[in-house]
Amino acid sequence: MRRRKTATLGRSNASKVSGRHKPSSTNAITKNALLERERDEALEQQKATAEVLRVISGSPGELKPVFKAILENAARLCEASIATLWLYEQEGFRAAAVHGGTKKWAAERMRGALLRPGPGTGLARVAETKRVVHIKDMKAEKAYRDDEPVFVEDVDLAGIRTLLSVPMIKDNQLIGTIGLSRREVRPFTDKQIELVQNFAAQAVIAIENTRLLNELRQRTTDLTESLEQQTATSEVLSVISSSPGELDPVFQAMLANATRLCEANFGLLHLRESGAFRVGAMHNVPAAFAQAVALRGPLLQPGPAHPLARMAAAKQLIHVFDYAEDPAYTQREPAAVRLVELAGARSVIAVPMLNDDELVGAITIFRQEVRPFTDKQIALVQNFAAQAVIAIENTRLLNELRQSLQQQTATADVLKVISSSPGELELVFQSMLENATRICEAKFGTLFRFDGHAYHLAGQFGTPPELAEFQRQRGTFQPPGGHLEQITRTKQVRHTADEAADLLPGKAATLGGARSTVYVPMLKDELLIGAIVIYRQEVRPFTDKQIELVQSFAAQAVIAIENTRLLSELRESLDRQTATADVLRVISSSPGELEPVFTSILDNATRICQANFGTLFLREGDALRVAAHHGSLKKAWDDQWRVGMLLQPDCELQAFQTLSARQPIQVADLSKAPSYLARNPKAVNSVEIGGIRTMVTVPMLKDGEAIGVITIFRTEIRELTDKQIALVTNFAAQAVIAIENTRLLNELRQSLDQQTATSQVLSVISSSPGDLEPVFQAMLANAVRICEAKFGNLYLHEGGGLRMVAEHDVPPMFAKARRNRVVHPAPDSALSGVIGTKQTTHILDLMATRSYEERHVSTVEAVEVGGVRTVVAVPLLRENELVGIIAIYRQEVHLFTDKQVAVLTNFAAQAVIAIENTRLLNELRQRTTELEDKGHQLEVASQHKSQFLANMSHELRTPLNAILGYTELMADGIYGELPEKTMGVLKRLESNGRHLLGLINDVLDLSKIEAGQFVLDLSDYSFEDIAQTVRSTLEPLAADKKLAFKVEAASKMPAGHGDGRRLTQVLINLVGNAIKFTDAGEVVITAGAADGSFHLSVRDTGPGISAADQAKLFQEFQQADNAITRKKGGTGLGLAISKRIVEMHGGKIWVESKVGQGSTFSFTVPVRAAQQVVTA
Amino acid sequence: MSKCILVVEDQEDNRQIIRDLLSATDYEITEAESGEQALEAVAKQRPDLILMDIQLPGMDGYEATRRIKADPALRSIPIIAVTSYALSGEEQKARAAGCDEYVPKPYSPRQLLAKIRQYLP
Repeated sequence: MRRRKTATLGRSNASKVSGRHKPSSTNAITKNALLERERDEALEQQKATAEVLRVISGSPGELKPVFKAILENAARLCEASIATLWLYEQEGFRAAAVHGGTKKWAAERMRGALLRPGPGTGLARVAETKRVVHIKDMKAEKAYRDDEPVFVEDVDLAGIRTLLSVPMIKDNQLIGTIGLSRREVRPFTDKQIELVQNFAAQAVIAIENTRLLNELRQRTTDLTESLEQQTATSEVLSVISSSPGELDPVFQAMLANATRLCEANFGLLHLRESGAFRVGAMHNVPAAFAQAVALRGPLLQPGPAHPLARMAAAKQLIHVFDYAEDPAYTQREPAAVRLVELAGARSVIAVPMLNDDELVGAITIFRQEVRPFTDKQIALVQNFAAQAVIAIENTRLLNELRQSLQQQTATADVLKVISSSPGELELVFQSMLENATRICEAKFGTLFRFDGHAYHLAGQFGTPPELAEFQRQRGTFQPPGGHLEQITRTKQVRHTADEAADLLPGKAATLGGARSTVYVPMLKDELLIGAIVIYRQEVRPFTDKQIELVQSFAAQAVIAIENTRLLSELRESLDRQTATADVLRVISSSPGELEPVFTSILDNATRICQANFGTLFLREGDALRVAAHHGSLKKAWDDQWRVGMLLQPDCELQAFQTLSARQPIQVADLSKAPSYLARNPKAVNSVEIGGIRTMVTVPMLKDGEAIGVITIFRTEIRELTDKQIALVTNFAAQAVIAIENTRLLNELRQSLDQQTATSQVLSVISSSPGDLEPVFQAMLANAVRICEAKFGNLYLHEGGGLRMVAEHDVPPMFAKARRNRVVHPAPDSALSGVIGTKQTTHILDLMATRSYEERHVSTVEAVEVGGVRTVVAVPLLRENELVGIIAIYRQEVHLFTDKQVAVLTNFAAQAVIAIENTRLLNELRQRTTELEDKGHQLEVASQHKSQFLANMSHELRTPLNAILGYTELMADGIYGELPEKTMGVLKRLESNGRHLLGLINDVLDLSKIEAGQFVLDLSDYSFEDIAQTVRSTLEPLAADKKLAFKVEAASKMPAGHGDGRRLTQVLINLVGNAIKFTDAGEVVITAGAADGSFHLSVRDTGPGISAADQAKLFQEFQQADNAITRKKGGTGLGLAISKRIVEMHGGKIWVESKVGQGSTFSFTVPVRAAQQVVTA
Repeated sequence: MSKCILVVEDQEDNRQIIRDLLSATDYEITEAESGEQALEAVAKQRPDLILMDIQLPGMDGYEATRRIKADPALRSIPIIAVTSYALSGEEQKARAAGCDEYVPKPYSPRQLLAKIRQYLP
């Protein structure tokens, strides 16, 4: 900034100056000169600065030229004789550049010693203050007086007087000074000081730049190195990866890179082997050495002094600075000697290759000069050593993996073959042998199977032709000796290194050239079932791994065999099941139809037995009838065995033998069978025309009885296996079941049919009760259908003849003929048969009857108009009376089955029931109507009765009212006084009137009772009232007869609920009777209540009543003794009515009496008679 | 003032009896021979007691009773039913019709008088 300012100042001033041209005063000229000077100065400074900068940029990183330039310019510009640039470090100063001064002095300075100037010296002061120090005269300084060495040197040696020290400050830290000195005492100007400060700043910058630059350079170098190493490493790695498993290229690459990066000359890679070292790779080794190594042999056994040995012992890196001075060499260790003298090795590093602390090898790098390796280089080689270890490990793993994969692939191959052709062992064995041979790096292989006694060839691969042929021809064999025989005994692997070396080499060696062999047994659960043999044609024993592999294959072979066996079994089983299922399906899909079933059975049976022909016979009596057939031979033969043909019993024939033996029989060759040899025609037929040889007959058993026979036969001699015969037996059983099912099913159908028909008829019966026509219709319809007949009639038996009342499907003309007409059936006709015998008559052919021959009208009518041939007529019987006939007709000659007749009989019974029901129903209806009428009448009658009674009651009482009324009035004197006689008569009048009233009441009561109109009037009453009434009514009468009248009642009688009036009537009746029939003595009324009932008795001292009379007492219209009655009077109704009343209350009335001892009449009534009890 | 008794009875003999019975008393009597007559009589002169025979020609005693009892002005008149209908339930019928008393025929005139005195002391 200052520069600019100065420049600007200079320039502007210049223009100003040039502009004016005034004749100047001295001041102006001086000013100009001053200004010009300033300008020149400034320019100089700029030039200097620019130069310094140029130097800086021209030699980046080099400070010396920079310092020199600075000092030079500074000294020049500041008119200084000496300039020094000090660097401040470690609290001291070191001269970095000097300008001017004597050589000696300069040399001394430049020696580079670190000066620690004492206090007072310019440097010390600068260091302290970090400010410019300007010493005008050094000589005058205290430091000089104190003999400060540097000071004195400067003054005395260099003659310095004025000194300027300008600090170089960076980040507020002193890093050096620039010192300018004059030999005269002439202070520097401010400008000059400024300038030096400027230079100082530049120097600082330069130093910084240099530092940075150097840093940068260093870094770059580092990076370059690093990159180089990485490149080397990645090269090695790429070699590793590009040739996995191949170590040579890896080691090579490694060594090459290591050697190069270490700036070495050659390298060696050793691998540890059995305690020694084998050369793994060499790089750039001198030829002579290489030769020597080759001669030496592969393994190096270094002595203990040898670096390798030392390294091996310590498992540590060994760094030999100079091999020539190494004990290994001085001790003349051969390997060391070779290295030094042949290869010129000097500096060496031996780096161990460690795998988990185990020494696996070593890398040695050699220089042919004595130059130790740097740590970095050593580290690099160690890195490579580690990589080498990894590479070795990887290779090992990779190879293992490859092997494993190979085996697996082989196994997978075999398994694939097994699975792709299950049951085909040949392919499996083939594949197995192929793989085994290949993996074992063998020449050929053989697979034998062992059945417990002998071996036979099961597979060959790659077998030399002669041996192959021999093996094939051998067939089944029992090895006389040799490996297979051993295996049979020991079941162990037999591994022979050289067959040819055997005393008695086997065929494999002699014919096949086998040398190394391995025999591996195939074991299934400890049982020997075969052997696999692998052969080499060279003497090279098999590795354990390979033998293991073959054993693995052997195991697989066992599995394959087992699988095949199981698979075959499974197939067979499935086959059988399918066949069975087939048959069952046919059975279920066509229930009741036997033919498809039999056909299906035969189809399946013959197929599974791998036979072509079969026949199914059903037993009919002792004969056999062909029911189904499978497979045809020659027509001539076929014709003999058509379905439906009957085979007569013939004990020579196998079928019949089976039938009677109830066992399956197999004849392997019919042409050798006794039946054929005896020229049995059927047998001859079968053999000669049919060509049958092997035949199996199996009985169809039902409950232990043979109901048929199944025969299976072949036109070749090949016996059926037990399994197959068992299968046919199974089918036979199924056939039996099918037959049984069909039978049951048909029965069921029939039964259902009948039931349906029956229920139909019944439903008709119930839906139209009393209506017979629909019933008969339904019946006939069903009957005709079930009987598979043409038409039917139902006749009712009337007047010795038959009247048709229902018809079904009857041909019109015939129907017309029979309708509304009483048929008199001809004798010997079906109908007349029934009429006569009251039994079912069944005529096969009406046309063939005598009745028809004799041209009886009805028969002719039936045959010619109705077309009737077979007839069945069933009677309708009720209590053994013929009520009617059901006749069912066919227009063909075909007997009805027993079942059908049974059905008809059933219908007949139903028809009878229906008829009976109708009759009863109608009767019932009638009766009901009658009853209704009667009921109605009774109702009316009853009403009349009530009316009558009411009227009678009124009519009778009305005059009595007058009689009694007037009488009483008269007695009361209403009409005036009456003489005593008249009064007496009046009294008698009254008494008679009362009596008459009593009689009327009784009669009316009885009438009511008769009419059922006698009803209780239930309400509360009190016994006291009743007693009172009785007393008041009757005591006078008792008094009149001078009878004692007593009432003995319990003190507290409960309130009663009933008909008080009627109960009063009862009591009055009883007491009245007592008084009436007792002439002397007393009448005692006893009354009590207990257990919810009133208990009353009337005791008298009358004549008593005999037992016989007692019985009659309570009956109507009867008095005990008519004589007494006549004397005493009375209607005899009282007690009957009393009884009725008491019983209607729910009570009881009785008498206790003995003749001559009076009578006691007692009755009980419930205290509360809730409702009238219905009495008879 | 003497009490007035209306006697409703179709039989002459029976009327005579009551006439004679009550002649010795100071009850006055009016007579009617049918239900209709009874109603007329009641309308003409309010009786203090009615002796109602049930079996009457035309309207029977029960109906007449019902009519009389239906009339608030006449309701309080005691009516004694006198009937020779001896069927059960007759008394209930009488009371249901509104009769205050029930006397079956044949009755004792003495007792009838006693009953009348109960109502007309």
